[in-house]
Amino acid sequence: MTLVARDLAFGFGGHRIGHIASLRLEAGEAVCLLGPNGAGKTTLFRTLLGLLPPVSGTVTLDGEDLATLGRDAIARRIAFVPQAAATVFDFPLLEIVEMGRVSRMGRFARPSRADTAIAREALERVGIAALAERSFGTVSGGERQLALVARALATGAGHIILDEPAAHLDFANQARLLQELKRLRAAGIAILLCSHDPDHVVTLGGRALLLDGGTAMAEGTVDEVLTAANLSRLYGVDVRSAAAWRPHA
Amino acid sequence: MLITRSRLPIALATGLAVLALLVAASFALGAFPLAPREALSVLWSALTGAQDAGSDSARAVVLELRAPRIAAALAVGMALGIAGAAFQTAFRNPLVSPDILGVSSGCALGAMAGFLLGLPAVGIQAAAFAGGLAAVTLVLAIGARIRAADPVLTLVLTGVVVGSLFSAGIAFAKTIADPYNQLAPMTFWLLGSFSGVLGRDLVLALPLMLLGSLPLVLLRWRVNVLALPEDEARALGVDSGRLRLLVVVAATLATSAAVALVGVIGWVGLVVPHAARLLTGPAFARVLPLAALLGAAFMLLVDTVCRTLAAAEVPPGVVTALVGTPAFIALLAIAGRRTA
Repeated sequence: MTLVARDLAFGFGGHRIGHIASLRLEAGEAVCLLGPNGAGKTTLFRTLLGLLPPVSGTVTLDGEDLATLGRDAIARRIAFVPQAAATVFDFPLLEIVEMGRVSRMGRFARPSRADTAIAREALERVGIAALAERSFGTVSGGERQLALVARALATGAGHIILDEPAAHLDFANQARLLQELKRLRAAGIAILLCSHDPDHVVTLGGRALLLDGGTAMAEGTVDEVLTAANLSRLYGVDVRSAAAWRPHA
Repeated sequence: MLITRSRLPIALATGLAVLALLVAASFALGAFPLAPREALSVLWSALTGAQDAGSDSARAVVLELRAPRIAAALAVGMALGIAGAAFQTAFRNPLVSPDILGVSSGCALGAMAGFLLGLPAVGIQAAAFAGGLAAVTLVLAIGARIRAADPVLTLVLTGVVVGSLFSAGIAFAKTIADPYNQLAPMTFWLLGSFSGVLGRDLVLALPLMLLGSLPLVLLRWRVNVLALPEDEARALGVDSGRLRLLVVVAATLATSAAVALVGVIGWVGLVVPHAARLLTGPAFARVLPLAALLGAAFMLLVDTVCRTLAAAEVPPGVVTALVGTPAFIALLAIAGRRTA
């Protein structure tokens, strides 16, 4: 299971807002995208998920061009975890997670016993099985985010892309989410996430990609990339020591 | 959530039983009252082809007047309930009704044109149906040509605008109508009515309502995914644009057939899905049968009240508004208390 972007220009309607020379995500790997607001993180993610066509260049999944794959074929291999926002239609968590199975179901099918069992197991894995019957609007922000991670797990995809999953979470819930992601990574799932917090990159380990103005400013292991100089440049503020973010180093 | 997945079969069976009682009562009540037993025996003998039961007048009332009317009320209520639920989920908006894309005003303008041209009843029905489809086709065509960040919102706004254009056309048709022969039937049509629905009117409308409901019944689980934000639905593997189009076309077909048959009857398509969701949560697979059942029961109740309350028939649209407004406010209050 490998997601590869080569010479990828991304943007809307042929209008390019950024470019990545190469990005590679293999099973059990974690890549964290770091960059200021407007750096193009979300647009890049939408392109990697096949939701937006590339302006130029290619995204391949196990050697197959994403553009040639159907939506359901992509969904079976890359799952997406958006920022959890309350929706008007307030589904119970179990029904939300069951929707993760839709790419593996027939057009007229309903979730089978097996699908429901997989959904329950996914909730179990992220530690919120007790909330299965509670509705999305009545659980905490952290639990909502974990439910969306469970939905991504229920898809059975080998890659999970998370768009600022910890943005609205308090400290304890951030830690809980990152622990879950670490565990998934250890189980062989490839994780690509973007974050505003360099601490997340450190906790998760793996590689970091600093995105500025749509282009990769630096890429490499946490130790190589998260330097005071890089972070100062990226965010335009004086960062004294990257060590401050690396309590475990 | 009152009706969970496991309780749905019992709830539906109970609902059907209540509906059957309502139907029996509706056959018995009216300007020509019948004993429920007599009404049912007439119906039973007609269905089984057995020896004719009951008096001639009872047979005429039950078979020629009340049966088509009751069938129309059940079918229209079902179609509007299902279509409303489908539109609300597909547009991720609990405030849309099945005529959000201009179906009703399209049907109405078609019917007005039919009256002006002096078409017979079946011609007016066909013109209304064609008008409804034309309005939604126009809205979808405009919506598809506008590139927007939020295609759903664009579609809804286009529907509102096109609907008001058609409303202007209706107003114009009324001003040029012959005030002695045409204006009164036109006005009555616009208020909606089940009176005068005959067996032959159902021949076209009933199959179209069923045809429109069928894809929604088949896709009832998948339609849920449309309630998610666009990117999420697509990332889960659903071609949401195509699925939404299919849902809109199917729901429009059912709504057009309903409006063409009995005219514009508001509120049903808005309030009934709300009530269904209040009972069972947002899952479309459960909302759909409940909305069909509640819609059919509500419509039948309204029409029975309309034809028994006063000497002159009350337009059903007036009753649905009188019942629908407080019901909707009550639903909002209950739903608000739940999420608070």
